[in-house]
Amino acid sequence: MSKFKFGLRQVKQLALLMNLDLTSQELSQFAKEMPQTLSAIANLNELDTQNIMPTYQTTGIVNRFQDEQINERNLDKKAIFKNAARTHHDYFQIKGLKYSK
Amino acid sequence: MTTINRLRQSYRTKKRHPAELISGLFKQIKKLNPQLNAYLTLNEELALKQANELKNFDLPLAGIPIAIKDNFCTKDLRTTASAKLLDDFVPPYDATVIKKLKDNGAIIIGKTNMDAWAHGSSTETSDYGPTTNPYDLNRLPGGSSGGSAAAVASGLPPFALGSETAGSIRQPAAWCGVVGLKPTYGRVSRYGLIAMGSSLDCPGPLTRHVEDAALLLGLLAGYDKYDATSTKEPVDNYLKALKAKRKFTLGISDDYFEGVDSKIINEFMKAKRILEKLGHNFKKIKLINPKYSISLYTILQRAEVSSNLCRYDGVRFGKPRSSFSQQAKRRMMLGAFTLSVGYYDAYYLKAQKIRTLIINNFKEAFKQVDLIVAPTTPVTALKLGESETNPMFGEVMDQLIEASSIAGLPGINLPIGLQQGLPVGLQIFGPHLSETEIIDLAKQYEDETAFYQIKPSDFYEI
Amino acid sequence: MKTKPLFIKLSHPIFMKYKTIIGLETHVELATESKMFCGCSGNYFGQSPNSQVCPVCLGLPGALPVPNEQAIKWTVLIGLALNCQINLSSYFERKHYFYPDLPKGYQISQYAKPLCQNGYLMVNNRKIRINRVHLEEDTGKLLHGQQFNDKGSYIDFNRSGVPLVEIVTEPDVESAPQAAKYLKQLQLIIQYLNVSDCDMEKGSMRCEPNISVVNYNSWQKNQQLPDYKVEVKNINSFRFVQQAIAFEEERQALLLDKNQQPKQETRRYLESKRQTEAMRSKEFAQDYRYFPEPDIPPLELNPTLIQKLNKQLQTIDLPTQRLEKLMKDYGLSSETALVLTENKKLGDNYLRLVKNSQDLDKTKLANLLINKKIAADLNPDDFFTQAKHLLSKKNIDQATFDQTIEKVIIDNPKAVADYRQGKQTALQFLLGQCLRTLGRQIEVEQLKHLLVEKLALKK
Repeated sequence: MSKFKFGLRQVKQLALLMNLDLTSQELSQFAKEMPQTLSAIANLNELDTQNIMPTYQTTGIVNRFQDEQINERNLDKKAIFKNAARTHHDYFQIKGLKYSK
Repeated sequence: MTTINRLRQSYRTKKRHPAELISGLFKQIKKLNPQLNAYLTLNEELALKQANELKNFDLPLAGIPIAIKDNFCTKDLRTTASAKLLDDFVPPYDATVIKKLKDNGAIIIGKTNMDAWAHGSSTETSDYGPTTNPYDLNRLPGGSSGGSAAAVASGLPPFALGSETAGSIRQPAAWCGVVGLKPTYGRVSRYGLIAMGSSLDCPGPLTRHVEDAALLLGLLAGYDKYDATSTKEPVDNYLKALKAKRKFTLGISDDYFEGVDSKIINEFMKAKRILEKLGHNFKKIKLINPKYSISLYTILQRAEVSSNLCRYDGVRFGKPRSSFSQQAKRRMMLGAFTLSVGYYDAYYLKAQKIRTLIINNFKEAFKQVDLIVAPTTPVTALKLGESETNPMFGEVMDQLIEASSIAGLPGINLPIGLQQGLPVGLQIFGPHLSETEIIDLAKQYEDETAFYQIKPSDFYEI
Repeated sequence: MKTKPLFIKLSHPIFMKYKTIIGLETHVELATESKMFCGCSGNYFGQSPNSQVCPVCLGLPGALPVPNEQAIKWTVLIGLALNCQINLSSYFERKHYFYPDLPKGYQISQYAKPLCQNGYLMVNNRKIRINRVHLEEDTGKLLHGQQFNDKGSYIDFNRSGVPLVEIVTEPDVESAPQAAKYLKQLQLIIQYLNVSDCDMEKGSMRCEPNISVVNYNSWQKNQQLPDYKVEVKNINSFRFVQQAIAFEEERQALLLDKNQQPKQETRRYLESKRQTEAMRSKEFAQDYRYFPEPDIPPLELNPTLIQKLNKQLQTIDLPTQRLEKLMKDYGLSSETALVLTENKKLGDNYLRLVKNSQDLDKTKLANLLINKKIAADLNPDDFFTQAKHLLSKKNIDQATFDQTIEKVIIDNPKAVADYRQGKQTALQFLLGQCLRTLGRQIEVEQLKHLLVEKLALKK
């Protein structure tokens, strides 16, 4: 496996991708731990995978399609909003985003 | 000696009433839970109401109490996956397996503790504190279905639903001395099971008797239109399998004894002799060394976890992402790395190719043998706190189970004895959809050894 | 850098020096009954917010996607209409990024193996190559406090999970008008396939151009694509596509002229300012971490299904075929035929109604519909009666009109004076006088127009 050097910059980038606000203590801890974990799993390089196809699913199932009535699982508004942090007039509410997408 | 069928029989003959049984059960749970911490949420009011109203005992689980691992969505009953982020989450829908249990008359007692998000093999990484092992309160129950395993071991009640990604049913079953059945991936619907490793997750029963595991599996298994990965293969009659008494050729691999505690190997050898006495043949096979499964599983699990935890943004449910425990954050970070541009091929893709090697390895093995047996865990229950020192604790504890999970195979843990007062487990696993054969062999072993007589001192007979 | 609207004429030397290279990413919502991965209704337009959601499209813990077969077939149909190769083996993948309207934190999309690849669309005899046509799910809709007069943002998940087809071209488009033509043609084809209404205003069709600019001389030397491109989002009309591209052409050319390399970035189009502006880089994850969706088994399409869809495609009149048909079989002029082709609904009505009106002039019938002289949603019998009535009106020559009007003006000085003082009823009276002479079977509007003209002249 590639010799990846973990620095704070890489860890920060991963945290950004995962939408995690990490403390500086967490950042430096992960920067230290991640290379350890990666070297612990490096033994996979001992196995030859040339010409081997990956297996993403073990069932062998193909072509599964919907088989349900329209709106069969529709939730009522009470059920939809009961776990929401903030709602307003049948909308989920969040802190204002400056721009539209 | 309480089995589901015996219990139902006692209801039908009016020897017992579920209301009396259930209220006694809650009394005992409340007495023991402060030490065990097996339950996070009790469903007392509704359970008692349901039990009181029961008149008809025709349904196969009518009035049968059952504990549910807290990563199954239960409508109107708090579901946290042992994560503070979901502290106040009350699902608006039932998981398919929960619906099946309810439709069959089961009474849900409560939601059991687990490693948060099912990441772990100790139940020590629960955001609500560890569950303890009923055989030794200073020890871990294993995990992630530790709460369910501890509840079943204590008889509170002796039936529970767990889930396994790679060891989370069988490993705690081994450490708590109970039966834990992990079905073929796709045999039981995942709809409503809070996803961890989506290509591996599988619901399954934890019980004290093989018969109960077989009965529950028969009710839980089957195609689900809400789970595209659930198989349409017909569900075998597992109750019939209990009486089949076939003779099997059993595979055994030297690689599965490397680094295993000698006390466990001793117990295993005793179990092997019993199986031989019952007329089963053993044959040596060569399997890929479990040390590779540890690495492979680490990559697959972290990658899928990093994806599955993306939906927790605190908008529609749950608290903000800052509420994730450090353990969850650590796993997500590594997972994101293995999927990122430039590293995908070296990690995620490589892992999925090795998965093919493992599947092919098992396919070859099952040309020679019907089923494979091995110790379930390399050590017996460890002390509280031991999981915290190793970021790959779970992967190491589950090393003898991971390969079969990665291949999607079914397997079972059976208690085979105690070593220094702690349970030891044996696992049987087989090819895809070989639950019938596994149950058959497990039942033969159970009949011969009556392992269900081994109980912790606080065991409660309902 | 602060950008302001630029108004350089096309003849400006700067446009001679640079060549524009455009690739277009177009999203089209399919009009399937149910959503892409659950049974919720896909018809969200005008529905009350968050009224068509379930655990799946709300991204609740434990919920799982199951694909919509109709959407897969329709995507293949689009691919076939765009001359694509169909990947019989295909699968869905997870595309990860965080945005509040994306409930799972990933979008189920396609990456390595899209359903369709390597097609093309002829636009004015120029081949625009299609790189891929793939299927994914739409996001929820984010609103920004406009309706509640505050600073919050609000999410409606009715749109979440609606099937979305993405059509990506190679960088073969050279100008803003060409981009608009491609889009118009694509829109028509998909409308003709009857799989989407492709309404840009409603958002069922959306377009994101990728624009870069290269020096003409260096292009002619090595045909090498520039190593940057600018993606523009937030465009909801053909007109704005053109404006956004034109703005970018100019902005980038001016930068290059100053020996500055334009940045590879995503920008948004601001209608009010008629310009684009850079989006903060944090709004876009730089790494989508695609991997095959473990919750959905792979697709293995049956070759006979493709044959069937191909046959179905043969039976559908596409825009070019309709245009030909209208000109050849109905004898319409190319202009008239084009109107009835580009407005599919009107053309549909024409073809439906004309059958029942055999003995009427086909061009005149078309003009009646185009000029809205007659309702297009009539049943064939009523249409026939009304059309016959309208078309049987007398043709009165100009001289007769003039004579009649002049006589009425002379005969009714009081009414004329009243009208000139602003009395509208006087005009009605004068009109009535004209009709008395001419009879009612004439174009009243035309008469009125002439009368008003003459009244204004004669003092």
